[in-house]
Amino acid sequence: MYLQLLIVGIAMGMIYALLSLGIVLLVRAVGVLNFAEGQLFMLGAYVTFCLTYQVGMPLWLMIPIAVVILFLFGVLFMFSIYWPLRKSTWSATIIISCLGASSVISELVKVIWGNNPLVYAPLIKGTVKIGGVNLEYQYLIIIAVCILMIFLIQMLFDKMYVGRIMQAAAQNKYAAGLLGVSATLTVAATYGISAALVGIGGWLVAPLFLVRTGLSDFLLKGFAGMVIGGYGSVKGAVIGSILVGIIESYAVLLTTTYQNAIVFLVLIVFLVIKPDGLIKGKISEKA
Amino acid sequence: MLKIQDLKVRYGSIEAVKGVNIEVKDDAIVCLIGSNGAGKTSILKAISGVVEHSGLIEYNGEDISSASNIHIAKLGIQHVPEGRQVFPGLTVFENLEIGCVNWRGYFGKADHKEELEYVYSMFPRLKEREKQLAWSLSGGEQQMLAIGRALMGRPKLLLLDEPSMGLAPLVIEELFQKITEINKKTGLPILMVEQNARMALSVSDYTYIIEQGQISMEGASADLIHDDRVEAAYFGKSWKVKKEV
Repeated sequence: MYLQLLIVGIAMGMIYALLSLGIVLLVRAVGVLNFAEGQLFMLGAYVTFCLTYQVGMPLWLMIPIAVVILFLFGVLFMFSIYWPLRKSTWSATIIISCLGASSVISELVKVIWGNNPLVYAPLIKGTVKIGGVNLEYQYLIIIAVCILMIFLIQMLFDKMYVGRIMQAAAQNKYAAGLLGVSATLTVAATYGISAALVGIGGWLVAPLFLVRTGLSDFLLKGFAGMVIGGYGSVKGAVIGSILVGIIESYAVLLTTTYQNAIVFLVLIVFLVIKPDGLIKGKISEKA
Repeated sequence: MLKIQDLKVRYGSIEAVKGVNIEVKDDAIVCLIGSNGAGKTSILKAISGVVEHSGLIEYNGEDISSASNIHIAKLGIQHVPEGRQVFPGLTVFENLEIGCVNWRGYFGKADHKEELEYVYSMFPRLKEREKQLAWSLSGGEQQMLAIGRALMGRPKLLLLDEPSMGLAPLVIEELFQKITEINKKTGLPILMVEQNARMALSVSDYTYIIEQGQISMEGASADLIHDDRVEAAYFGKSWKVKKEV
């Protein structure tokens, strides 16, 4: 029982980690909280559903094409939601346009795929016996794929030249511009990567939670993970999110109705006793 | 090398630069001096294409007045901005590496050993601190890093914006020595903005004095340094006392 809860907690935490990573990448690159990230997450579930069942693609073909579509959607999102408002002097402008975009995406999805939740069959059907209890294979797939994704993101930003250029542009756009780095390209790429990353998260949870617009609510837990981990820190976002997943999972032992309340109670406690989060973000280092 | 004619920069209703003519010759160090808000920085920003402007900017015969900052960086005009502006969360080495982006491209694998060796020979302190994050460097080291980063971009013209800002006198001395050394060794022309007029005049070949967006005086630095009006306006009494001693 405890082991099962731990695995479920880590798996869900990994999903929240993808969401908070998506947010943190954008916070660092453009300094804006993207409130439509949850909708991009949900869109991932719909796009993969569409490619798998409506177009009928095999998995090996579906994944790269879905990633490309989601990446391009992220770029489109950036040029329509962020770019026209980037020079606005009121900092809430872009947040409001993100909120607007989140309704537009939700409604658009309803127009295309209808109001009813859609069923996405798991990659591997059935359950696995761990420690005497049954567990869906999907949780293990989630953990494996998320570790791979987080590893790839880490490689991109820390080990690859282009990733370091994106980091540099995020830290000081003006200086990067003087060296010949195009802000348009780095910001667009960051939006694309962020959208693809959370979109894959949507695909991963679809077999467990159905394909529906309500999937966007996962964003709240991603936010909680990011705040607990330390606003603006990549490592913090991952650790904080996994912690949120585990807390949420073990909360079942106390109550099933107030599971979410317990998660946000922990968030509030963290905000009171450790508002900087577990790991100090690079944003605060800048000061 | 670089020819500027009738350059004007406006910020809304404020005209920061009101039509200046500047020329930088091959191998020369040219200085722009003047008080705060005289428009010196705006001139550099106009050259590197990050601020809207009118007038003609000609670089080696090519009109770059309306070129993008990316194109200008590719031409080899490297601008070291005011206040250093290193990338705080990246290491010294990574900061330097990003200086190559103008000739290496985003996915570049090209070798930058030669440039790196040159920068490290110029600023050995940077090699010692290679793996340190840039924010942990001292002000003088950050300035060296900012200049080193520009040197990584195979510069053909270096724009320096107030390299002495906020640094201790001894550090300034060392820094200006390096700047002249870079110019003498490779013949790299430098256009420098400075408030430290004494330092600027002593290292440069030619100087423009900017007042309220216009050039109020220009001439060979060696002549200007002895000019009474310059002395009165920029060096003040302390300088005179020093000179007499």
